[in-house]
Amino acid sequence: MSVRSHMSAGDLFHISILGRPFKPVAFGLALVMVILIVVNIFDTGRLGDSWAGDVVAILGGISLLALVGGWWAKSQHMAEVGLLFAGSTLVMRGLFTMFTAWPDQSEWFSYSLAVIAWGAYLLERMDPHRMEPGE
Amino acid sequence: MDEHIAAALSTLITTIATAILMAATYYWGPRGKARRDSRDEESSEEE
Repeated sequence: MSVRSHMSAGDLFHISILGRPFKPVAFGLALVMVILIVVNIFDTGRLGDSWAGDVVAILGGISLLALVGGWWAKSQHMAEVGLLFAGSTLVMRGLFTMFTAWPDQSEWFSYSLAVIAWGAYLLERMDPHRMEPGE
Repeated sequence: MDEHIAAALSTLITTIATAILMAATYYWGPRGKARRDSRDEESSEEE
């Protein structure tokens, strides 16, 4: 196993895809971002046709690009940005649902997923053994 | 609540929460800790 197949606490040890580290939590959040982007572009999601849906789609797009880009470029920094924005996307969705239709299941799901995303961000960002080229 | 106000409030709170999280990782992360430790060492040397 090469050193570069493991960058931080978020990577599965001894497992790499196309020679790149694999972060299972980031992969799951990227799937959630794809769903949020699609439903908010077509205005079929919980946020309807409000401009909050557009903000969520944009935040989700940034997050997805950073997560996929971080994996492809083997960039720990980019992956962390992706996790941070994934949490922001979900918090935004949860807050808007809370302000417009409290109480609502989708609000609690959003907050729960945001805890996972921001928790993963904290784990990776504050990992004392994390590695990034140039550091 | 009106949708526009809800969207504006959500955006504002999300931005603040994201900024706080980023600052927290810097302050409590390895880099912030190293900076605090070196500052503590400097102040103990002065004493």
